Amino acid sequence: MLRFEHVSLSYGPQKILDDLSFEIQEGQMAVLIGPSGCGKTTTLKMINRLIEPSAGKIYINGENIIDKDKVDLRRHIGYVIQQIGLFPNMTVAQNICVVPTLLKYSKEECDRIVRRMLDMVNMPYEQYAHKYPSEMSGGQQQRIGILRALAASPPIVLMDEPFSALDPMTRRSLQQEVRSLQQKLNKTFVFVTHDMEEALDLADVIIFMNQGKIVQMAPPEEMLAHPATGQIQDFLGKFINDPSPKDLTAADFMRAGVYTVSASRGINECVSMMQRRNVDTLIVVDDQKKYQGTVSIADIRLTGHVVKTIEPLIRCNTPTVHAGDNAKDCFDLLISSGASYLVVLDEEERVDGIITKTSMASAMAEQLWG
Amino acid sequence: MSIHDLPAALLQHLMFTVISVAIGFVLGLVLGILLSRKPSLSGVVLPILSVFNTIPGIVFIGLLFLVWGSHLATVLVALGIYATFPVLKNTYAGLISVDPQYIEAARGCGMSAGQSLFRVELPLAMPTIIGGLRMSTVYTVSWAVLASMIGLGGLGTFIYAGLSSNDNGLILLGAIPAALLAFVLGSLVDLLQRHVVPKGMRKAGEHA
Ligand SMILES: Nc1ncnc2c1ncn2[C@@H]1O[C@H](COP(=O)(O)OP(=O)(O)OP(=O)(O)O)[C@@H](O)[C@H]1O
Ligand SMILES: [Mg+2]
Repeated sequence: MLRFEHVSLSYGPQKILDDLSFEIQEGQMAVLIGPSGCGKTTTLKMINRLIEPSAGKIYINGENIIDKDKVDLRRHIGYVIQQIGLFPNMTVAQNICVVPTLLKYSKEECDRIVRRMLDMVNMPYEQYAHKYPSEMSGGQQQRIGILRALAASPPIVLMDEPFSALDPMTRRSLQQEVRSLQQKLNKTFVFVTHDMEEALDLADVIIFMNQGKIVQMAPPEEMLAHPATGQIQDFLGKFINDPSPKDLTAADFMRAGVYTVSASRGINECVSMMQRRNVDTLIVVDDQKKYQGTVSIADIRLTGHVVKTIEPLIRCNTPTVHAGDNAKDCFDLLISSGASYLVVLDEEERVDGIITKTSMASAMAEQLWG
Repeated sequence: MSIHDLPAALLQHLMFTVISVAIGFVLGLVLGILLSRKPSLSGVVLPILSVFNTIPGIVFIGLLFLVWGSHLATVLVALGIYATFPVLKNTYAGLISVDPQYIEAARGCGMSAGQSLFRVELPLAMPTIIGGLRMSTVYTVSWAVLASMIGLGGLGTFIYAGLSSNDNGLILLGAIPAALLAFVLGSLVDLLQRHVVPKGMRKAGEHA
């Protein structure tokens, strides 16, 4: 749908954009993100030819945009500028219909569009159509700015930090509106932001830029799972450390660094170890550190006088889980089994840690209250 | 020279003013627009204009009179040129101070350069432009006094006659109507201002 091929831009010796190549599919919401000055706005403005590349090509539906008439191209690409830019000398209705008017739609058609557009964002026509921008709040103006970009039903819509000036509540609700509009209208959106939360919320695909280059282009889940660089990780920051509860695993709930003993250890040695650490069971592993089972102080008292090592006393009745298992399942298992703990194993069946009721409770508290 | 000549002189004065201001407005508007399209030129053009602007009107009319003689055209051209300056300056200033976000929005919406100028930039600059027109009008009323210097009538006739005969009454007979004329024409421009300022840009309380 929208393809950049080796696009570069230099102002004199300064390289602003360096060999950008990417493709955005039809109906996708692509979000450009990156630190200030990395070239997001510049990239966006190249799509509607407000800025021309010094090298490389840009294709829309397979057509090189350099072959198209600039003015005509822009009438078929919606554009929301960062500063909103509603024309102060025009009413809301006139602002919404700027592009349809340029395309010479009839008066009735324009009026129909205004009604439909205002309806879409729940702003009554009678109340708002004939207001001037100066008579509206920032959030309302921003809505109209978005409607102006959508009015002529362009297949592509560009948005440059459209919500940057808004309070968090208004921003949330507008983000939801944009997302649902985009899904309803199935348009291709290119959205610039430097707010990672916004990017993760809205994007089908995130394009992370730095110093005029694309560092990583990936869907949000993939970027969260595998951030390409430390910088992206910093941008993702709290979102990495704050996975949603359903993504929590046994590893998040376990206590690591538990004591293990080898099966060849003598009875006396183990008893004193238990006393020293004030525990009533030990986790037993083999020479490769693989999990074998547990021995309990009760079993040692019962039969310990007839055996030398703990090996014959090993029991496998303690439930085990794997580090990647779903935390909720582990919780259920811990409660239903009545065991005092679960043993958490890694992929090689080595002991990673244990989940006790205490470790579970403190992990949950951590999730809840940070 | 008596009060009976006043209505004719006033009418003539009014005619000088209106025609010159009309010429100056059109010229100033067009030149201001052209200059604003090429702001790099303004560094050269505006200083030259303002030097020119400091040549006293009386010198300029005198020079033009020497070349062209005592014609109506001499007065109208001289006054017209003077009337151009304020309009030109304000048109230029108004246009280049249009917030770039509106120009970018206009371009981004697919307006051609002309559409952007006529639908967005000029309406937004209009208050400043009309401010220039007002200045131009008020100045021209007083400059038009100079017309009588080359024998073309107007209210200046009374003033010059009064000065040469030391007749203060005669001076006032020219000066007071001229002042009133300036006031009335200035108010008319203010009235126009109210109509051309885009509704959305009027301050609260000015809506009605
Ligand atoms: N006309 C220009 N001449 C020279 N350099 C420019 C020009 N316009 C932009 N730049 C530079 O190009 C780089 C990219 O600018 P751009 O506006 O695309 O950044 P951005 O990613 O949108 O930043 P922000 O998040 O601050 O909006 C910046 O380093 C900027 O200084
Ligand atoms: Mg930017």
